[in-house]
Amino acid sequence: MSHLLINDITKKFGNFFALKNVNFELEDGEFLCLLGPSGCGKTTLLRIIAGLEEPDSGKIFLNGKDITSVHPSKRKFGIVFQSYALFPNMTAYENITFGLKNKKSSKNEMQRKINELFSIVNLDHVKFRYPSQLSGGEQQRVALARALALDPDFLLLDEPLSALDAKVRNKLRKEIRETQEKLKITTIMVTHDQEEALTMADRIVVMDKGKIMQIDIPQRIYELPANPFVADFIGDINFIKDNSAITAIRPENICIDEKRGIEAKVYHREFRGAFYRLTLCLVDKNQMIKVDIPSNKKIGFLENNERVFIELPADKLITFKDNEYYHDHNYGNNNFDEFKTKVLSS
Amino acid sequence: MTTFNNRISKLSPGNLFQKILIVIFLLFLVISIILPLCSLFVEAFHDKSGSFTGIDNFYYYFSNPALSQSVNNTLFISFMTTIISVLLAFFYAYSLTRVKIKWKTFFKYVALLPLFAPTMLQGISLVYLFGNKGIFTSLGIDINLYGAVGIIISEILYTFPQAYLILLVAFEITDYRLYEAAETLGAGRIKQFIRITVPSVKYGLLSAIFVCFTLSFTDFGAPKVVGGDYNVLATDIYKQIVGQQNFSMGAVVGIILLLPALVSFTVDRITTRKQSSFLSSKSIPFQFKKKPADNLFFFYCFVISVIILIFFLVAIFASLVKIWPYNLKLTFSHYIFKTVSSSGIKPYINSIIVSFVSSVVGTVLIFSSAYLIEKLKSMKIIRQLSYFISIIPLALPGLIIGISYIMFFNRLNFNFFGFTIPNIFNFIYGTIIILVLANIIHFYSVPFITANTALKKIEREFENVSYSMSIPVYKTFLKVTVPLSITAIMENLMYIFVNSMTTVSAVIFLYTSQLKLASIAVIHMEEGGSIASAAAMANLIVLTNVAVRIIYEIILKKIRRKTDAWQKR
Ligand SMILES: Nc1ncnc2c1ncn2[C@@H]1O[C@H](COP(=O)(O)OP(=O)(O)OP(=O)(O)O)[C@@H](O)[C@H]1O
Ligand SMILES: [Mg+2]
Repeated sequence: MSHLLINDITKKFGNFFALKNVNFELEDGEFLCLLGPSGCGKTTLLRIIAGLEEPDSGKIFLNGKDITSVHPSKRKFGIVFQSYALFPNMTAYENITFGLKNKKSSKNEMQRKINELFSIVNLDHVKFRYPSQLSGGEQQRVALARALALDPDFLLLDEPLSALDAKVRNKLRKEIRETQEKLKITTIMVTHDQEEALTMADRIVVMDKGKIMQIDIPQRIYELPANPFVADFIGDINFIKDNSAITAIRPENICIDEKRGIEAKVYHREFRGAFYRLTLCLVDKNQMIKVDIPSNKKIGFLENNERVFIELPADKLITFKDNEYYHDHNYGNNNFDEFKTKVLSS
Repeated sequence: MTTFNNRISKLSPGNLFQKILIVIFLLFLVISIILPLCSLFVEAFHDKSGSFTGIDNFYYYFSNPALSQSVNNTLFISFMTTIISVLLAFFYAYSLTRVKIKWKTFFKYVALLPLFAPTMLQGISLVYLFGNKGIFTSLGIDINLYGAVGIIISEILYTFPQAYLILLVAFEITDYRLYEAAETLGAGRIKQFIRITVPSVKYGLLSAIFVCFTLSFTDFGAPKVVGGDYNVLATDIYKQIVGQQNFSMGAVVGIILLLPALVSFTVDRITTRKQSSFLSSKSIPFQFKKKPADNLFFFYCFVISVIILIFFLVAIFASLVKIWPYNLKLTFSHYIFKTVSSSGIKPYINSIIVSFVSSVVGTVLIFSSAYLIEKLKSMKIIRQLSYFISIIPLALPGLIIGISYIMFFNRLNFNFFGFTIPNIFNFIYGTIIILVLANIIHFYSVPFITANTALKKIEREFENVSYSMSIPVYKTFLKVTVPLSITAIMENLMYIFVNSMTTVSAVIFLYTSQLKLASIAVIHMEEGGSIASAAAMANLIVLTNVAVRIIYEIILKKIRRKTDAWQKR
């Protein structure tokens, strides 16, 4: 059993708040993603959890015990660093077993452990190569195996896939998740890639500027974002301002009709493989709106400047309890003015 | 469930040990650099009896024409040496990096030869060539060797490799794209040289100028052998302290001696920072093309390397013949030092022991201290202070280290405002410890910077990895950090050894008759008129250093073969 509680953590670098009153809990065997834009404090939080950095205030509890100032080597956390930090002068095998030799385990047990690790991460064929002779994906798996070698209670991953190309990344997402499930190891993974978080995590912690924006399961983060920041950061979204109220809707939830609904004009059409992305202009509302239409659906021949009608299904409209973050960011569609001069005046 | 015995990460055993260690290193630096320097400064403002006299000593020094003449002499020597040496080295380095010529490897190594010899060797060869019984003198060619001429020639030979090495690095980091651009614009060789080459090495040039000036300003060996009555500061200090036991006046001369080194130090700090920014990641290394005047450059390098070789060959040959130049029968008799000096071969053995110990102890000390300064997370002020003190020796001529060590370690107690504090470090005076310490401090900064640079290239997270895997930090240090820095460590070992073998300036004030060193024996035998034996001893030093260098190259090659596996992509 391992239960982690992050309680009101604050961390400052000089006058700059890298983390502000961060709170969350982690269940046994859970896969949690820390998601947020670059510089929002994800790595800092992970390092505080690992004990590599000390918070200015707040505490961390493991199974009810305060571990805030326990030395990292006593925490039983396996860490995969953002840069992997493999020892370049050791082979894959030596890297992974470096820590094992330090434990007083019997020879047989160690050998069994090593074999198991290598088969889990699928590295048998590159055992005796140096890190510089491994591909990015293989390096990543060595780093993962090294972190797992000591049977940690927790696995901490700092952007483990960000250095890899898209294909390898997709494959490793699955592999990491499968390994995690097989070992039932509680995991925290940092990422700034929303797709990665959505596909891998049991729960996601969305962060911005050192603060937690929302904690929830992926589906609810997507369907019911707690505030405009989350809505905008994860997936695409249209904000619709009605007086002071702000509602939002995902582009794929908007229906298009030839006769009924809100009147709009086509500003731009883009083919994106599985769907078309239309940019429409709501003439009455002085606003641009994004609409996605599956490409297998006949949409007629929508030309630029053509007139269409859209419908916003009420059950798909998102409203926010908390509009605070809307005004911090520039979510409005700036190219409306450009549209006006270009299209409406013609 | 995990138990947590070790609360408060700050006090975990590994970390605490490191913190204690870095404080000990800082204390070591303070005791072996700062306190002796303070003693030197204090001494300069007191008279022989120990009462405070303000600037009286300086006033006396400059109002005494016999003494202050040395300042003029030394300045003259240094100016001449610097101009000639830097010019020669500039074109030598240029030829090796920018011109397509044959025999490059040969030229490269010959230019480094003087680094392996004590500066007396150049002086001794000069005596054999142009001295009273020199071959050229006997042919009627008299260059008035003893005095400025002899010193300048020796100093040029001594400083040439230093200037050459600095300029070589400066030339090597130029971006070839500039030359391609110039070529497409139709600029000729001379125009390219003036508009691209010279500006691109200007910092290296500046650095070379200051280094040559400082080295020739403070050198002791050459003026001792070929100086005659021509007084320079370095020999003055020796006379004041060893001859007349006048420590106050010695300290005054020492402080004057320190001035150009301080300027040079400042310039060096600024230029190394600027030079590194010259190279962009897209730079292209220089590509050679055949050009008309290439043969001229080959001839130039050839002449210079032949001259350097002649100096070494003359010293070897003269040490192997009965009586130069009258009886040229070969003999090893000059290598039997017992006949001319009671200590016999012992100084040579002492030198090897002292150099070996200095190099091993120094390298371990410097590397561990550089590691803590670079990798420890806390104690920022202590780390910065240690870094700063670690590069101070760059500005300290050996003579300064020698006399400040006498002034500090020879004292039995210190008086502070009426309190008498016994000097607990006095016991090292007159032992091998002080010789080793003087060498380590004398040659501290260059290896320190080498180690620091190597450590900076090592991934910062390794220490964190070892925490997360519960590997003790010392294990990561030994198994990862040390192997990754092995070339820097080897370089430092060799650097300290070779320099400890050749140096005279610091140790001449500190040796005892039991612990005479080879380089000092050279001076004594030369003083005593046994010049062939002096040459023989100098040759042994060169031979040892060359051998060490060859061993170093072989080991390096072996290491490279191993490290290549994990460095290649
Ligand atoms: N040691 C430090 N000193 C000062 N500022 C720091 C330090 N470490 C991090 N920061 C700052 O704290 C903020 C959060 O950094 P952090 O590394 O946690 O970001 P991140 O969310 O991991 O970003 P990325 O996705 O780019 O890795 C950044 O603005 C960063 O510049
Ligand atoms: Mg990060």
